[in-house]
Amino acid sequence: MISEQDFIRLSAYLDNQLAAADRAALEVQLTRDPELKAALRDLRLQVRALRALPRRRVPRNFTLTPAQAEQLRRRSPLAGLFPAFRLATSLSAAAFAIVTALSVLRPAALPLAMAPAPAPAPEAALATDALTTKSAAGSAEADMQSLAAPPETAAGGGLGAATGDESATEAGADSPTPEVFSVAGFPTPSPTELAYAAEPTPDAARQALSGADGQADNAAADSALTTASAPLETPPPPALTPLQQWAIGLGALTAILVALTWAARRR
Amino acid sequence: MPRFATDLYDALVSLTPMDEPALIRDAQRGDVNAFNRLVLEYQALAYNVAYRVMGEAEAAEDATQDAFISAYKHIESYRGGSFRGWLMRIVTNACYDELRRRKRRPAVSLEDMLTAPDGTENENGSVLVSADETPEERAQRHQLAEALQRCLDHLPDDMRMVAVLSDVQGLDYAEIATATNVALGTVKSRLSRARARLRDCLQEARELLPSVYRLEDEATT
Repeated sequence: MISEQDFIRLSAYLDNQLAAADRAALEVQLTRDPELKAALRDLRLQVRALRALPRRRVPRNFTLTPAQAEQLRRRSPLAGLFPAFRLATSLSAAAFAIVTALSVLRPAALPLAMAPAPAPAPEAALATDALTTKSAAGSAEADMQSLAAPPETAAGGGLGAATGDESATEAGADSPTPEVFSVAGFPTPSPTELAYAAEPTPDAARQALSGADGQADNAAADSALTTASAPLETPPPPALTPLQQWAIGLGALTAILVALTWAARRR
Repeated sequence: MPRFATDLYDALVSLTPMDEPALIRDAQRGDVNAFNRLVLEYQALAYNVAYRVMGEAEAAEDATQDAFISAYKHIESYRGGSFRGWLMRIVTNACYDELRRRKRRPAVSLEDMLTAPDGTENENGSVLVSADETPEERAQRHQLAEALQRCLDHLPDDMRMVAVLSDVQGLDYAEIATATNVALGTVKSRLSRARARLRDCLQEARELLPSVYRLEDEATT
């Protein structure tokens, strides 16, 4: 049985494509190996048979008429732009790949709105109770202070204060209602604004808590923050980082350039 | 101009000596007559390569026509070297395009179904059949040609292309490398694999080989 390697050598030998040393070595091997010699003979016969295949007469001439030639010479302007399109497509595709890779590899570049929310602490329920108790005992002055604050601050602090408010108490709600804001003289916020406004800042929360009860401690306030924001969590609208925006733009540009390049090439 | 007149003109033109580099330069300047001289010189080679690769007369004709149109459009990109290799590259690409088209829309013409794959039954077929052949020898050669074409048809496209260019048309490795746009080493290995597959495929027709060619072989070795 002739190995594949031997067959490659025989094939190259037949076409006189072996180096002198390899050729001499194979010729020595051929004198000693009758099987190899028979394989060479068969291969030579096969190639000769292929070479002797009848030639087909051309069915017609393939010459071009002057009219055809003229038509072929009139190239579409798009065809002339093919090299430029090809280059632009390559550059755009490369930029798209780089920007996409960067946006994937740098999650820190994500906006805060897309950052995962911290998991609620186990003691959150207890803190809620404490906060509710303290808030319920809050003075009217504290109510006024928290309601008079700007919406961003008041919403955080107002959670606790609102529990003491009549309208909130009557409704039995834990979250501020539009009526609460109306009382303070602010325009009624949309649910989305409420969700954003519901995100408390530590300072504002502490201020509100200390307003409600001057002896509220910071630990209780921190726990309360976590709990207070939990019921109001609504998925924020998807925000894109600048890198992601660039990636989308470059992707669209690349797709357009690919289409133009293809069209130019076809012409 | 009547067809016979153009054929006669083409025949006379093809008999005059050809200065290939000058014709290429003129064709690059847009001279369609110079380009047509080149077409007449190479159309038999181009058509036969296409025919052996495609295995169908109609497909070979389409591929050859496309190849010469493409050659005219791109002749400015020819930068020297073997013009035959450059042209065969265009023919090769045209064949691949035509093969892809035919794979999407397979179609076999009635003519191809009624004639032998090598076309020897057809009036346009063999032009190199010896007049000294006996009817038995001719039948045997016909049978062998059929077997060879059938085995060529079963090769993968890239191997078939190399086998046709090398063993059927006799191009050297460098020209085949140019025509198929691969390295010389790839040509060598691809050709070797194609020949090995053809050898296996031809096992059934093996007994025909010695009776047709053994005497010639023994005379040359």
